[in-house]
Amino acid sequence: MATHAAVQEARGQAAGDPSIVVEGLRKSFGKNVAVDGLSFTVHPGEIFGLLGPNGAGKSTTLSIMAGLIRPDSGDVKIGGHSVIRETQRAQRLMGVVPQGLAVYEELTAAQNLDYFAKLRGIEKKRRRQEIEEILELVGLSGVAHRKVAQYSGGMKRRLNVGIGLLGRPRVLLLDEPTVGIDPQSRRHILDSVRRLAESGMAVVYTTHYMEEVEYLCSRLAIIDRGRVIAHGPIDEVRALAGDAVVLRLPFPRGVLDEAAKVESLQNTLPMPVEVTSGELRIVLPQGSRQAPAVIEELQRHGVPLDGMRLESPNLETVFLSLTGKALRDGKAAEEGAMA
Amino acid sequence: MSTFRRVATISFNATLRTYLSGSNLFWIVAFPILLSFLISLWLGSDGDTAVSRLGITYETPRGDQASREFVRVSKVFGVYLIFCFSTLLTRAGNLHDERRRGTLQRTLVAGVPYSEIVAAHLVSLILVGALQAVIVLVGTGLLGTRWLATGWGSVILPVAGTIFAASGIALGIAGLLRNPGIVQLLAGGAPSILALMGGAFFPLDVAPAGVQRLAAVNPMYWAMEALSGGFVYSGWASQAAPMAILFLFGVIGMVIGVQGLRRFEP
Amino acid sequence: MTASIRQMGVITAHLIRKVAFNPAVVWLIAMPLVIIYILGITMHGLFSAEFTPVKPYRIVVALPEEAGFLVERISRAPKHFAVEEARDAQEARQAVFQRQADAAIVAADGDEPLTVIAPPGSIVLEMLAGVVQASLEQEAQQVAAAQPPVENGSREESDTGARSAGAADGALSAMPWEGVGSFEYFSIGLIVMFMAFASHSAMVHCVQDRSTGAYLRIRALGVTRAVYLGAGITSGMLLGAGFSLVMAVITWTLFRVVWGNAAAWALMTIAGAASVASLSFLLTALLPSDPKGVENAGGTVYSLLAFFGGSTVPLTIMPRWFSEIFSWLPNRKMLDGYLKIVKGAGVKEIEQELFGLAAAALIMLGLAWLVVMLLKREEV
Ligand SMILES: Nc1ncnc2c1ncn2[C@@H]1O[C@H](COP(=O)(O)OP(=O)(O)O)[C@@H](O)[C@H]1O
Ligand SMILES: [Mg+2]
Repeated sequence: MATHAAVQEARGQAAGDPSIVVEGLRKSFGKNVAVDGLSFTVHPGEIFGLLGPNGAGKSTTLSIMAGLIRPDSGDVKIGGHSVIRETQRAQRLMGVVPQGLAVYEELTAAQNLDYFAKLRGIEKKRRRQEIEEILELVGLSGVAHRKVAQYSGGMKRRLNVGIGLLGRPRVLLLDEPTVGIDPQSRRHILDSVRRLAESGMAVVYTTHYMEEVEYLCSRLAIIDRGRVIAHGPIDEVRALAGDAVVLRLPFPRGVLDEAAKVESLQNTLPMPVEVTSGELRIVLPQGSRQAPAVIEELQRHGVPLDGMRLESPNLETVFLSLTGKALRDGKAAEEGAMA
Repeated sequence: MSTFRRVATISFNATLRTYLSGSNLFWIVAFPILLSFLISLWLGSDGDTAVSRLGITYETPRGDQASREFVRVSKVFGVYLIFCFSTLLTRAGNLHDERRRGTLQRTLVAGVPYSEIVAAHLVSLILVGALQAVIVLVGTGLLGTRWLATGWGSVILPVAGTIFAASGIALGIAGLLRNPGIVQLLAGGAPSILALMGGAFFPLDVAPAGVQRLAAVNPMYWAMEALSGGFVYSGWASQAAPMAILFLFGVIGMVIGVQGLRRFEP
Repeated sequence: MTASIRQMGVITAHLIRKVAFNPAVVWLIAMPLVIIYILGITMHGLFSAEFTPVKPYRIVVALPEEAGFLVERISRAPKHFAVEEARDAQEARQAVFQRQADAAIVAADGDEPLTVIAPPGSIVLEMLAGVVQASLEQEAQQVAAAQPPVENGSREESDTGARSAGAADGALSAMPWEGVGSFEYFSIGLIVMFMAFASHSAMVHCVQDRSTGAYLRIRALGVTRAVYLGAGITSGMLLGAGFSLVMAVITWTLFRVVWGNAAAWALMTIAGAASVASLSFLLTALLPSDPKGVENAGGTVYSLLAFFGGSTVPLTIMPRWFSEIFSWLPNRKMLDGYLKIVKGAGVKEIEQELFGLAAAALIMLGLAWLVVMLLKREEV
């Protein structure tokens, strides 16, 4: 994993000019600030992660980058072309995989690809070949002539990614491409993205699964409510958590005085305490040496300690220690558990 | 890729998808034919009140037998009008549908300007309308409606005017409303009421003066006028005015639609 | 047993609440009211015995002196006809052709004495033909009285003409809509139509529950399938009847529709609600797990029934044979029953309709049950 990131970084620096430059993006909807001063660059061959919980502003950022939404201020340059002033030139260089399933269910995968390929202006001969390649890459060759409506969720997601690859773009923007699918499809998509980056594509990958960022990306930005809370190479970001570890403890629902207990714990313990989908998480900023005191407190509250463990620093710990809340809300966590 | 090619690709795709759905096929094609057939059965009995009796001969304004077919043809045409409007109004939501699915955004990212997408949407409405007209007219024609009794112009002009007006109005509706439920309700209810109030099933003479005046802003009334102009009166000359009004309906709808859809531009 | 009844009550109340407190209920009430209003006003003339056009029809005549009686006769109805004389037949024809006049009467060249020129199927043609025929008959009788021996042919012809006209009149007075105003007619027609939609929405919720898994949750609590389906039908019936009641009150307030004998109305409403609920059940049985499909199927079937059963296209403008071949439809039975009640019928006079509806309800329930049994999968 680390080597993968290192190779990517090396590739990025060797390639010179960045493919994507995002500068001071700001966008609000009414009073709600969705993106608040976001800047980053991505080099060819690099996968840049945008990690954040639901509502963090990831999709808004990607829509701005795709030229679909005007930012209030800031600019995005794709291969040197501003998406604001030269929207269509910039768009020609990129492929976009939207968060929703933007495919025609009443058509087949081949028809979907052919349609968008035509609109991208790919000529007939190249179109055929490219569609075949993409079908192969996303693993849908065998079912290319079946209606998308009959596909499983994972197959639809893979087609959704495939359409974004039309026209061999230099820049690929993916918006949570693996939400709610089976592990095989997810694996397939992650590996495809990796291979594409290896062939020199610059990729922006948004997600709320930190494992995916750990697996794919060399650099990332963690955002929350539109604001960047951490930004840089993955090892540096991970180190932001310092010595912090997370104490995790199964906390079954239905315990009578659950809410009261949590509240009381939150009041007595000096560190963030969180309950998500049946799990209690407590950040220990100074590392495991704080554990005994906390465990004592838990016992005093009558919380059963079965299944307790300490987690070493990772992106999730970073997020938790910087914001005091879990990266995934309850619903997203359940989705993750299903996948 | 040229603008023309892109518009053609998008509108072809939208039209194709319209006909790929089983329920659409039923509503757009089979049901109108079935209903028109039943209506022409219904009319089998009456229609010709004008047999000579007691030394009186009945003559149509044009003076030929063929224009008597108007009685039957006009009722079937009334049913066609309802289906044309309800089909095209239903399809009006198509663009908003694509926005919800994300395929509109995807098309934009492929480098297609929004104006071309709107244009393609309009072309697709007209195509769906034209295809439906051909199918329903041929279908009911085979089942006994004598559409061509007084020549091609009598039918083609009113049908073309209707499709143009209905497509324009549908685009206008898309520009004003984006709630699919409301568009659906409108598409289901409004056409039959418009047809009744436009004199498609019984002469408007029986309606009070206010309702008769209201017919002036009812495209279906003018479609019926264009039909009777062709079948009963002087043909081209009496079809010109209603055709011009149908055209105006279409243009006004399109202007409203284009302006309104611009508001929703991503 | 009591447990089942209690469960059924709970589910029924729940389903009714889901429909009645849904914003869509506003449409269910507002839509038919708007349509009643529009159709009531538009077709007012079709339902009143005396028809007078908004403006008198312009009639151009080009007739020889002997036909003066005809012009005189037509001019006697100045509210209906405005008569103008043309120089010759050619000019009269042109006036109609150019739409400067609504109709023309000219002397024919052949053996027939008269030609009436008017658009086919128009009201002016009907009316003018009636008047011209009547006055020709009258004239012929006068001539016959003065000069006994005339050709038999025309005599006979006028007799049959008179007889058939009389027969038509007699039949007309027996028609169900006779003596009912347009607002009354369409209030009945649209209540009958939308009662089905109201009732159907309960079943749509049932199918929705099935597709979301709420049904399984309910079954897991020990509710049997029969209880659940029973609750669906019961709530459909109650919703249909409730809708009818609400609409009766509203149409009485807004359109002054007087609903007549309360007992007859109540029986009719219950029988009608039973028939729509069982029809809805039948549709649901055919499409057990597709809420959108069930909703659309309801829309299609009920619109068709309304069309053929006289709800949207009134019986007045249907040819008689056409309305007769559809008189067995349950919604048509309801329409006929309510029409009778509005005209003052009691329970006794609507017995036939009540039995018809009850039979229809039983048949459809039986069919639905059969379908449910046949399509039964692993479920117990
Ligand atoms: N079109 C819009 N109108 C109003 N608010 C919006 C719109 N799009 C997004 N938002 C708001 O902006 C914030 C960020 O949303 P989004 O970019 O979709 O987050 P993410 O993709 O990270 O889940 C949210 O609070 C959301 O409600
Ligand atoms: Mg998002």
